[in-house]
Amino acid sequence: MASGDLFSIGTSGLLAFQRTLNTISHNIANVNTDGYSRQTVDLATRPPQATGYGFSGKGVETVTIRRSYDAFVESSVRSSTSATAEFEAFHALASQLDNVLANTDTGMSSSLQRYFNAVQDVADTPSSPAARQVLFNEGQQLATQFNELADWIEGVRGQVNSEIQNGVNEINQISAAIAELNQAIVIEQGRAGHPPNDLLDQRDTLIKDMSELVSVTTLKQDDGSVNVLIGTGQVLVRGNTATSLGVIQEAGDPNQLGVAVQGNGGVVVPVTSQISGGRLGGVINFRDQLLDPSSNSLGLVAIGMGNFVNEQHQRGMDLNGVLGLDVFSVAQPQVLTVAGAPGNVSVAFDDVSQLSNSDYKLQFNAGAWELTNKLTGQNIAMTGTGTAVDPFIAEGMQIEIAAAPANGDTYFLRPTRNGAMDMQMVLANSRQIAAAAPVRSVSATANVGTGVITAGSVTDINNAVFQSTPGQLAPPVLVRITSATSYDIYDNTNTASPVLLEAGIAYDPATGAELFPTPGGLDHGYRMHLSGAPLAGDEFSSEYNTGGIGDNRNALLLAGLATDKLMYGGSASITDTYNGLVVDVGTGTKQAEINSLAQKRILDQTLATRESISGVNLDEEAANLVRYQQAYQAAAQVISTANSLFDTLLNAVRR
Amino acid sequence: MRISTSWIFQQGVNAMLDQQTALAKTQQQLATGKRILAPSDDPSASTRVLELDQLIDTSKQYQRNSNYAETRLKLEETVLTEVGDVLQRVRELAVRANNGTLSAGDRNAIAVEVRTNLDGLLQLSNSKDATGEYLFAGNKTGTRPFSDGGAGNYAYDGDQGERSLQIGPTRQVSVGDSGDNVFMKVDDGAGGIGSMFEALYDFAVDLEANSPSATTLTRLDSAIDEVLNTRASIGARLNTIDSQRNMNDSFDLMLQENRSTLEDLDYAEAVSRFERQLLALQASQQSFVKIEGLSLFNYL
Repeated sequence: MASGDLFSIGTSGLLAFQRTLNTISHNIANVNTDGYSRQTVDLATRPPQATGYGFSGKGVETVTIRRSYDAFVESSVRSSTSATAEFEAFHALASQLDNVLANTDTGMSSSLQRYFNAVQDVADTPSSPAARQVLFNEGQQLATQFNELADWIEGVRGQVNSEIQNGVNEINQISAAIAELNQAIVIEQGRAGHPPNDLLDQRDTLIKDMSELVSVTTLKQDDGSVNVLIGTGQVLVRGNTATSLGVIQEAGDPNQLGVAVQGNGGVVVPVTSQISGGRLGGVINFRDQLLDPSSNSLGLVAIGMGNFVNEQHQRGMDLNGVLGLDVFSVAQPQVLTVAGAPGNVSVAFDDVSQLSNSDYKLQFNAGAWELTNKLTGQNIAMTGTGTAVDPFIAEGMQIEIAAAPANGDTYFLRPTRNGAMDMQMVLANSRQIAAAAPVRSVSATANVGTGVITAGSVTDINNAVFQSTPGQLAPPVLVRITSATSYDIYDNTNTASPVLLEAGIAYDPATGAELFPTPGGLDHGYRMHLSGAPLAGDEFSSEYNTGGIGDNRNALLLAGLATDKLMYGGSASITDTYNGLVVDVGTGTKQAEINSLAQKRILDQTLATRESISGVNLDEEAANLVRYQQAYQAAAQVISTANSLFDTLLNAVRR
Repeated sequence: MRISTSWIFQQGVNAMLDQQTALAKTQQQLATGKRILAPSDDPSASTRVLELDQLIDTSKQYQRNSNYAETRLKLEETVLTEVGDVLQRVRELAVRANNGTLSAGDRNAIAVEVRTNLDGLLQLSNSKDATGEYLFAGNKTGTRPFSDGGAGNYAYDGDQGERSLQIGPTRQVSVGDSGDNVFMKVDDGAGGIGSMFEALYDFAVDLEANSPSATTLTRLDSAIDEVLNTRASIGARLNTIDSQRNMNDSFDLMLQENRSTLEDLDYAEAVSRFERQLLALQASQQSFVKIEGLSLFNYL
C-alpha cells in the first residue's frame, strides 16, 4: 500500500466532511427561512481499486447535495393553504355582515319595529300632531337606516373589489417571478447537472404564496421547469413565460369586478367563475353566495316595505282630507346589458309578493328568451310573450322586450339590488299621513229596524268613485230598505232626489249583505257590510269621510302590515324577511368559520408533516456538527498518520 | 416523527394564540352578559331572539294602546257620569214641577234651573280630551259635535264613527261612542226619537208656559237609560282592556324568559370556563418558555 493512497483517502474524507459541515452550517443559518428544505450531503465510497488480494477502498466522495423534500406533501400543503385562505377570506368578510345585521343599532329590526309602533301611536291619536310627527320622523329614520346599511354592505363590496384587484396584482407578480426562476433553474441544472436546491425552494415558496391567493395546479417539466395553471386549466406560467391576469367589470358594472386572462390575439377571456380556492376564490365565493343575496334581501325588505306601505297608505285619507300619497320611493329593478342593444329589455315589478332575493340572467338563445337564476343556474319558466301588452311574467317581475333580439343577447336582471340604497321617504309633512279611511257609512237617525252597517273599508282606491272628484265619492250611495228581505241602491249625489242605481236586491237578515259588488256587478271600490234586521223605509248611506280626522281605520291597517304575510308568496312578513337575512348571514358565517377552522387543522397537520421532512432541527444539526467535526478530525489524523509513515520511511532511508 | 425547531416554536405560539382567542371571547361574553355575540354564534337562536324582541316590543305597544284606551274610556265615563248627574237633577225637577201646588213663578224658577242644566249638558256633550279632540264627535274629532240651532233645534255635526284601538294581537276595542248614539236617540215621547237637549228644552218651555207635559219624565228616563247603557258598555270595555292587559303582561313575561334563556349567559358556566381557559393559557406560556430554552448548543 502506497502512502499516497493514504493521503488521497484522508483528503477525500476531509473534503467530504468539510462539505457536510458547510451544509450543516447552511441548515443552521436557514433555520428560520420560510420554505427552506433541510439539505443533506449524500456520501458514497469511491470506486475501489482491484488488486491481487482483492478490492482496496479509495476513500469517500460527495455524490450530491440533496434537499429533504416530498412532492406529495408539498402539493398537500398547497391545496390546504388554498382551502384555508379561501375560508378565512370568506369568514373575515362574512363576519363583518354578521356583526352588523342583527345589531340593534345598525340592523333594520328595531327600525322596522319602531316605525310600526309609531303607526300604532298614530292609530291611538290620529289627529295628534305629536304622534304624527314621531311617525314622520320614524319614516325618515327608517329610510336613512336602509340607506346606511346598504352603503355599509356596498363598503364590503368595495373590499371584495380591492381584494380582487390586489389578488390579481399579486398573482401577476408571483407568476413573473416563477417564470424567472424557471429560467434560472433550467440553466443551473443544465450547467451543474445537480438540482439547484435553494432555487427550487424559492420556487416552491412562490407557488405556495400563489396558492394562498388562488388554487393552482403544477406540471413538472423534464427540463426542471414547472408550469402553473389555475381554474380549469388557464396557464399562468409556461416555462419562462408568464401570462397576466386582468381585472374586468362584470356587464359594465364598476361595482362588480371580475378576473380575466389575456387570450390569444389580445382577447380578454373572463375566468371569474372558474377561479376557485385561495383568498381570491374566497372573496368571489363570498360575493356570489352571501354578499349579493344579502344585498338583494335587504333590498327586498325595503321594496316590500315601500310597496305595501304605499299601497295601504294610498287607500287612506290624510289630515287635509285628500287621499293618501306614496310614503316611500321604491327602487326599480336594475338591468345590465352583457350582450345586445342596451335598453332593449325593461323590467318592472309585477307582484312584489313573488319577488326573491336572486339575480337573473336573461338570454336569447335559438329564437327564444331563457331566464335563469344566476346563482343556482336553474331555468325559470316565464308566461307571456314579452310585448308591452303581454310582458313576460316571472318571479314577480314583468319583462318587456322593445326590439327584435339577436341570438346570444344577454342581460343581467337584479330586481332588488338597489332597493335599500334608493329608498326614500317622499311624504312632505306629517299632515300627509293618511290615518283615516276615505269612506264612512251613515245610518239614518230615523231608522226603526235593528240594521247596522260597518264603517267601510277600501278595496280599490283606483276606482273612479274615489279618483274622479278629489274630496268626494262620485257618487256616494244610498241604500233604501224596501222590505225585510230586499233593498234598492241609489246614487246619492243629490240627496234631495237620489237616482236609482239598482233595485230589488235580495237581503237575508241571517247573513247580512255586502254592499259591493252588487248582484248587478256594480263595484265602487269599497266594502260595507249591512247586517241585522232593518225594516222597510230604513236608510243607510256612504259618503266621503270629510272631517274624519279622528278616524284611525287606515292606520290600523298600516300597523297590521308588520305581521301580515306579504312576502315570498304570502309565506313571510316583512320583518320575517329581514330575520331570514340575518339567519342566512349567520349560518353562512358560522359555516365559513367551521370550514376555516377545519381547514386550518388540516393545514397544520400537513405543515407538521412537511416540517418533519423538510424542517431544520437545531439539536439534530448540533449533533451532526459534532459528528462530522469528529470525522473531520479523524480524517486529518489520517493525513497526519500518513505524514508520519512517510517520515518514518524517509528516516529509514536517510540512515 | 422528526420535528423542526421552527415548528416547535410555531406550535407553541399557535397554542397561545388559540387560547387567547377563546379567552377573549369568554371575556366578552362575561362583559356583556350575553351568550350570543353575533348571529353566527347560534344563527337559529339569534333569529329567535330578534323575533322575540319584536314580539316583546309589539306587546309593549299593545300595553301603550291599552293604557291610552283606558284613559280615554275613563274620561268618557267621567263625562257621562256628570251627564247622568245633570239628567238626574233635571228629573228631580220634573217630578217637582208636576206638583199641582206650584205656581207659575215657581215653575219659571225651575225653568231657569233647567236651562242652566241644558247649557251644562251641551257643554258636557262638547267635551274634549287631553289632546283637544271632541269626545263625542265620532271620527270628526275636530268638529264641534253639538250646536244649538235655536228654537229647540239641536244639530249633531259629528259622524257615526267609533275609533278602535289594537290592544292585543287579535283584539280591538272601541274607545269612543259617537254622540249620535249617546245624545241624539232618546224617546221623544211621541213614538219617535229626538235629542236629550230637545227633551230639556221642551221641558223648560213647558214650565215657562206653566203647563208641564206628561211625556217629560218618559223622555228624561229614556235619556238616563241611554247614558246608563253607554256607561255599562264602557265598563265592559274597561274590563276587556284589563283582562287583555293581564294577558299581555304574562305573555310579555313569558317572552322575556324565553329570550333570556336563549340569549343570556350562564355566568357560573362562563366563569368556570374562563378560569379553565386562563389556566390553559398560563400552562402553554410556561411550557413554551421551558421548551424554547432547551438546545443542545447550550452544552457544546
